[in-house]
Amino acid sequence: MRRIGILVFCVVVALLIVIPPMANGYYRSLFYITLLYVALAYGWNVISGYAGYFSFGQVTFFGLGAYVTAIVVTKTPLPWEIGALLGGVVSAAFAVPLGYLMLRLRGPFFALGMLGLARTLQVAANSMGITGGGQGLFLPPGSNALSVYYWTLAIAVLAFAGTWLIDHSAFGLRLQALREDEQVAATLGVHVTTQKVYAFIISAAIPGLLGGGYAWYLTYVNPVSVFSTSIDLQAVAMTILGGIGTVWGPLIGGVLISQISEALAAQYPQAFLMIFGGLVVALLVFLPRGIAPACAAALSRRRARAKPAEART
Amino acid sequence: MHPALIGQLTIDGLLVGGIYALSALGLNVIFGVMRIVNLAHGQFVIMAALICAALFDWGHVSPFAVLPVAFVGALIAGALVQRAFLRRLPEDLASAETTSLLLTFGVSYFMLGLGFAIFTGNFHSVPYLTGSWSIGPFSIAQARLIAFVTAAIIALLLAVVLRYTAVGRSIRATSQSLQGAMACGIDVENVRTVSFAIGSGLAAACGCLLSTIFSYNPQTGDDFTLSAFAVIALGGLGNYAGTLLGAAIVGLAISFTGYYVSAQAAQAAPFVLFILILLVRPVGLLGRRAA
Amino acid sequence: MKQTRRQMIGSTAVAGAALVVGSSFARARAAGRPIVIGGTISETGAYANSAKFQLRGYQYWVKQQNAKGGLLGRQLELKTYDDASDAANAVRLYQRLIDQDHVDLIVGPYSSEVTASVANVSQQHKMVMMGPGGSSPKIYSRGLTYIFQGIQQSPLYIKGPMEIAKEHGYKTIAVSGEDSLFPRSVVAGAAGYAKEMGMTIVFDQLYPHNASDYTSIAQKIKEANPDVVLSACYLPDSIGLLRALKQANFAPKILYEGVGPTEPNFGQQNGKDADGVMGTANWSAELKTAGNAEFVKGFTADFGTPPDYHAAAAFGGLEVLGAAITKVGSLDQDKLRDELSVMTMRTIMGTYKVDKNGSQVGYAAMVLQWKNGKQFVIYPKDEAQMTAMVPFPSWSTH
Repeated sequence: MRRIGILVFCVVVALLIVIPPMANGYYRSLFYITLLYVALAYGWNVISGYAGYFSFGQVTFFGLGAYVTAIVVTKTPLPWEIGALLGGVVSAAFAVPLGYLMLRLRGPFFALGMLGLARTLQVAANSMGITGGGQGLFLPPGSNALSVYYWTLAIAVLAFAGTWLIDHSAFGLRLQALREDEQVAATLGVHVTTQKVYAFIISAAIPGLLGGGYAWYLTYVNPVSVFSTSIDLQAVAMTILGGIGTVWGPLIGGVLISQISEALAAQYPQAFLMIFGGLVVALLVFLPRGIAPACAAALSRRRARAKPAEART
Repeated sequence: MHPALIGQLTIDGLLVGGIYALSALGLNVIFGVMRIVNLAHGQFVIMAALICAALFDWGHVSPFAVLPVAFVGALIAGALVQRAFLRRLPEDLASAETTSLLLTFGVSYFMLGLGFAIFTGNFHSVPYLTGSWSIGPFSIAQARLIAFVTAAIIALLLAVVLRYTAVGRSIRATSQSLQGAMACGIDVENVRTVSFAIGSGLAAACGCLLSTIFSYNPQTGDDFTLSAFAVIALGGLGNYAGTLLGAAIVGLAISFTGYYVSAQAAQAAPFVLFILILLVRPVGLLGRRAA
Repeated sequence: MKQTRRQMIGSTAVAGAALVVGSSFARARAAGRPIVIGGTISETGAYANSAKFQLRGYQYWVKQQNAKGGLLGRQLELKTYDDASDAANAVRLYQRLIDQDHVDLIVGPYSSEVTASVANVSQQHKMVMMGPGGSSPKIYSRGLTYIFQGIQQSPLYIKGPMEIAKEHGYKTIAVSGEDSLFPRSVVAGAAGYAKEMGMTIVFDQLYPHNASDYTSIAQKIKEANPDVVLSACYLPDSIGLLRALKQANFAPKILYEGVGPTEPNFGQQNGKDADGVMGTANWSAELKTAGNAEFVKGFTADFGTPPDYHAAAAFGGLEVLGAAITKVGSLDQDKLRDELSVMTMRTIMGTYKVDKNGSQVGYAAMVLQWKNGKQFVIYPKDEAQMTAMVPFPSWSTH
């Protein structure tokens, strides 16, 4: 069964590689934005889902990646991919001291502390010369959306595979242990701080790598657009609807919400906001753990009914 | 740096802080009892402000006259949100914090859509009491002073309710210890509904007061959620005196950094302060360490 | 769990395949069907207020033109989406309009920020775009060849108030405004003009997007005590700053607040306090431009509210595009581009003419002033409806 799963996974990835060059610009964009949010949701899922540190500010690193790329592209002859890579590296490096500092906070304090951090960086980008201040930075036009798409696909696949590995590793178990009870985890010999910081670095590197593609895609960055809290809130909503702290949750939630929003938001904006809000509320009331765990539970129930003898063994 | 200027900046900061305090108090009552952060809070603020603007456009109705009505309306709406949705969430502790957070996020999106559908995206600001009084070298904005005084009276009333009434006592008991309150036979579910209602009512009252001061459209609701958060996190979640202190600090930080550094810095000041203070005291200035 | 995964992947693959099939069969274009004009408008989000007027400007032109028989013998149809004031949405939705809905023409979105990103889409798809919402010059100086400016260039806005200030012998200027693409471009030339006119800038500081409290900035302006305050505002900050200046009890000799005061809403929100405030009017209802009176009358009858300059710019942009199509005789985008680059035309906005970048050089930026709850054009002289009310009245006499 597992081998079939891996095979199917490879086929889907192959399709995602082959299809976009044939598809039109709109589908390319739609695939891109869906993968972007799926990858962002995976990034958020590590620190918030597995380690239990709910963050409202991972967009800090997304913005950082976008600005690093914009600066590299406008001030040096290097290609944007180098800038995006550098954005990921800078984000990961920045996450080390920040992780040690911020992860001392817990619960809502951490969540809002991170949000404050995103606001602070937004203001910094607004006040500095190298970032163009409130005017922002213009990247060369005529960008190739396909290269951004493949970049984002690669990161999304890596994020998915990484999450699968974490889910099946001792590291993942340690994170879940500290999520349930940090003190108990510590007494059981888990290096709590180090593990949290590792998780935080992963959750910073992913948006850091993605930010560069976004900058290149829009050909224009400004402090308001790349540090926008709504980017975070969407990734959060997707993960929680799909199933927080699961391998499949971000994918299901990300694909589902992107498609619903694409179908409704552009034509019925006010109604969409109300429907989206109502849907979130309804899903939480009826499927509080998210879609992936609910599907898994339903399937195992069905299997148990179908094969009662086996299930008992 | 002459004393008159410092006095003026202090007055400006405290007046704004006082109005922030009211919305933050509401958020804090909710957090204290339910341990959830209500992301729809700012939407209650803005909805009330938009209603004030609409009524003023329609018949020059004073926002101060709308205040009691909006308060009661939000009281009912808040109770409904708690009864209809929040109460149905599972009590499982590991996920309760996140699911309730997301639920209020859903409610805020719903209200945002509703706000756009009813009031459009137009910016509003009620042109009422726009002048200022000159006292010595200081000029004091009329709307701000009156809003401040009203906020102070409401905060005082809240303090009286919390301290001297049975409902208030059960709210405080539940904030201190859920198990303890249940053991004492307090109907915790009821307390939650009441506190969510009061919190939403305070948000609406705050909305009426600031309807004359800021300009806003439905989208600006989130800003008020954020500033209220910064205020209560500074002062300590669940601590009411701390909220007032936090609000004063935020108000002063905005007014002084705005003058001496830049308007950009003023916007970030509450958050920078909030991070710095949390790093030194992870539970806020007057917060208690969790047992 | 394994079964879940397989099913999931299966359905994803099916969905993916369906998308490809759908996209590779471009819908056949039936002759005689209406010409579809596509665009995005910020119906929600930060720019929802002004963007709505732009949408109505488009709608009104389409309705008028259809009444006259459409274009090239075909009726016109407008298809718009909400970009929620977000550039990433707008980019995707323009691609949707072009690739998926196969619109025949595109028109620009609202705001310089969104136009900046969307201009690149028009370039890649080689479709001309008239941008009545993009006044920042940066958009046009990037070598893009299919984007045309349907609105006045923003650096020209402050020239008028500064000349009025010069006439009255005022010497000191405070510069402020929102720190974002468009307002920055408005005040970018202030230092240059000041030098030219022999004035000094005594205060120069911007405030961030979404600021809610202007008390500190008003206090600082008061301390600098300038004769003239030039602030590049949108509507919300123009109201906030005006109120803060009043509360700080500071009245400069000239108060200019960018494009905020052109909105009819500015008068409703500020009442008597609005009197004496100057702003940039890219257009005015009283203007004697071609067809302006009919536009104002018809628009007001249709929407129950008078148009503002966003509506006029949208209408004017489509007037130009329509004329270009009639002249070219087809919807050939390259021919349209060539025509739009060289043509001049009288519109309700003034005379359309662009330079080699597509930047607008024909439309003149006017200055308006509020008096007794109404707007009057005070600059340039030949369009003026009254002489400027200078100095700005003190707050006690408002």
